[in-house]
Amino acid sequence: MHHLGNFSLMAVVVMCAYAVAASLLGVKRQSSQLVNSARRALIAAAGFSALSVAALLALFLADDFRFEYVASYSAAALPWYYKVSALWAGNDGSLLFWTFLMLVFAAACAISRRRDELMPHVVATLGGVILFFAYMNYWVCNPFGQLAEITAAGPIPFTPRDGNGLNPLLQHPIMAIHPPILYTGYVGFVIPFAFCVAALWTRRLDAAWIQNTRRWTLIAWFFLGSGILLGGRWAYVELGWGGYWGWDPVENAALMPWLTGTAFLHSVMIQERKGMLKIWNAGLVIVTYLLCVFGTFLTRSGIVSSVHAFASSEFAWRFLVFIIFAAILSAALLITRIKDLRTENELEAVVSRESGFLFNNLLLLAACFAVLWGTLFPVLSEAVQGEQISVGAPFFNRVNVPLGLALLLMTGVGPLLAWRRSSIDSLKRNFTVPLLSGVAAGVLLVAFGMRHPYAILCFAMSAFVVVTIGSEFHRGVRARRAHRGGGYGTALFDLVQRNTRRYGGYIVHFGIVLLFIGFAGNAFNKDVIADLNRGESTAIGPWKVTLQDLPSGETPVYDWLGAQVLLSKNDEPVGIYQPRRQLDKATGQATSEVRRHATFQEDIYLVFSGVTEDGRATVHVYRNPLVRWVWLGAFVMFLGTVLTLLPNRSPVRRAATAPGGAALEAV
Amino acid sequence: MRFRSLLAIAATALLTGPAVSQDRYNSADYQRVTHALTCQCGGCNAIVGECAMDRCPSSEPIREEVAERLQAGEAPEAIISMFAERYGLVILSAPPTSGFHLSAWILPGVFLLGGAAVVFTVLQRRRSAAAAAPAAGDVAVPAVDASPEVLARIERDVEQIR
Repeated sequence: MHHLGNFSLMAVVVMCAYAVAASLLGVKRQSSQLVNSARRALIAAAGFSALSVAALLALFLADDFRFEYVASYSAAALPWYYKVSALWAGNDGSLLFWTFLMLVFAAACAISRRRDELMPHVVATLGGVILFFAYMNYWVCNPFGQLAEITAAGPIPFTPRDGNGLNPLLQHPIMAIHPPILYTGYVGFVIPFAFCVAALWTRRLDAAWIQNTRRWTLIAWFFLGSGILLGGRWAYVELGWGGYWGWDPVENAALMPWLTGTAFLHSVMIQERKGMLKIWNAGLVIVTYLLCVFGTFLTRSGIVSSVHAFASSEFAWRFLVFIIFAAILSAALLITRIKDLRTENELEAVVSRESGFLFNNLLLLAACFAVLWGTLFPVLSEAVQGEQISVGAPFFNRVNVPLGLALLLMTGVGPLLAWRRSSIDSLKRNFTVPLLSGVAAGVLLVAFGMRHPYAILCFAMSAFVVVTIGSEFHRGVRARRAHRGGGYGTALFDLVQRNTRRYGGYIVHFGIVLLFIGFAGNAFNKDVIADLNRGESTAIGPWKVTLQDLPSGETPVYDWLGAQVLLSKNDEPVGIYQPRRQLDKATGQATSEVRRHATFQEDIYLVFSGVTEDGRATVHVYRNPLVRWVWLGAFVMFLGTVLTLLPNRSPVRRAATAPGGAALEAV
Repeated sequence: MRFRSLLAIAATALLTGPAVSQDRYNSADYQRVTHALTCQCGGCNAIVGECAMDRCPSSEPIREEVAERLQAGEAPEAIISMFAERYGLVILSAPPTSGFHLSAWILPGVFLLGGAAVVFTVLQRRRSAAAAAPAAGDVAVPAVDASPEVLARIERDVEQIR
């Protein structure tokens, strides 16, 4: 089986190299046969890559511990589904899976966009990028390497009786889907990147490449965001520290391309409607993809320490060379095409939808820079000062919370601004109700005793944005009813169907508001630690936690010890919970299994930390307000993104891009 | 095995004795100090106050020492400084606000302000460039080839959605 895996991996290398050479030669000789064969080579590479992944999976499922990668991340007693997820538990297998996902995107693109004029150059770019990853996978971190014992007579094959097992923290259902979803997001940006490079290469720099890759970009953005949020959910329910975001370097690595990708999704609208910001958009796509690769580098190189990172590996410098090479090549393309990227229209006013998008982009980029700067500052400090330092959550929160609030504000302000320019009258008309709603919310919160300035601002701005979104829907529905008649619900359905992109976008914005409401809850987190004998209680606000028992048990995979507690609120019993500590038999690693009583008001998060020397249970109780709103926000964002991906029922009237032209949407 | 011994301890737990709500671990000062320090176990980067590792060899003794020093009446800032002297700046969860490390705090702001200056400059320059073109106020000028009836309908729709 490993021969099949290795052969397939080699075939991927060969096919990608052929795709690059044939597409370039095909362009030079104007041979459609060569270009088509290059495209098919990319599709074949996807097939070989699938075979390679299947071969490694088969080794995992067969408990074939002759292979170092299988022995390192699996064990015989592991359930089959964790043997499958062990595929991406380490560096080598995850890179194999990464390459496979990238080839799935590349093949889907090669099939669906086969008649695109940019295709030969897209295939060459995709082939070149994937060739690098496949080369790394085959020669530098091959997951099909066998274990060997070094003896005087030379190395002899060695097969351990069992594997080391999967890190117990990764033995969680979310971990079976979080990495594939996150990777899909990371690799998906290769498609807009390839189209951008192809457009620059061929000087076909109108908005066509952006329109043709809009769905690819959205899909990548959606998967990356979903992966990040799923990671947060996993951290919250599995790690036992009471939070869902720790500003770990690897978390930051995923957040950065998501931020620039978000900026791109907004600024492309200006290029599509007005033929402006061409350089900016091309630059954003390039930066987003380079940040995706840089994130991979951060995770795998070991230059920053992280709980998520794979062990420092020998391929760091090769990855760095690839990033620098890709950055120089992309920058050179961009610079040499600047004359072709001239804007077709000019901005007319500071107070306009266009400038709103510009400021939105600025804030997203500033947030990305702050995250990048904070993530790399320890490396810089060590290089310059020779002293190690840490940059943790207090830094990132202090720098990014104001930027996040400004972005939330822009989420509400943007839709209220008119394209081209907003007059004083329209500003008054559009802003009065949302602004008053926001101010009223703020005043009410202060009157009810809230004193945390950021939280008050966040809730007030959330009210402002929600009213803005509501009024956008209401105005649209009113216009449709005036035009076509019918009930409110029918008009709303009709309205959304006719412009899924716009109204799906508003739903995503609503999801963002819900996320921010959840984030604001962090300002009021409380926790208490108590050592309890049976029958004793500890309290946090109106909540009381009473220890009832200390049950224990074992499964084939782990031993466990629990703290059975009765949770009550205002002395009324709410439920019995049993947070546990588990000891993984294969790895010997102890983990917490937290239990939560979750409502939209707050989570009561119970962690059993262990037993004191005199036999008392140490229970850590967190009272985390509004956490559920984060997960609800994520779900709403999911719905909104799916809606934006759906085609309009009837085409929206496109903008005229001639000078002085303006965009009119069919409402 | 250590876990087995814990099970044994749990099984023979004494049922007497007062509840120990560990107030020393729940004070605002304790939270402040333990959130200003990072775990030094060598990889997790967790804030000491949040490190959830089972009997962490770094965070647990630090938490214990912080609680003891606070109980002894030491000021939170003094405790943080003492740890920074003992372990170096690496134990602090955020860079100091002096010397070279000040740049960690300043540069994101410089980026934002510089970016805002660029955006304003671009806006001003492009406005000047667009000044030659006739402005049409708040209402978009349709550059589409449409009949007067269609244009009138569009005007009416635009008015309605305002």
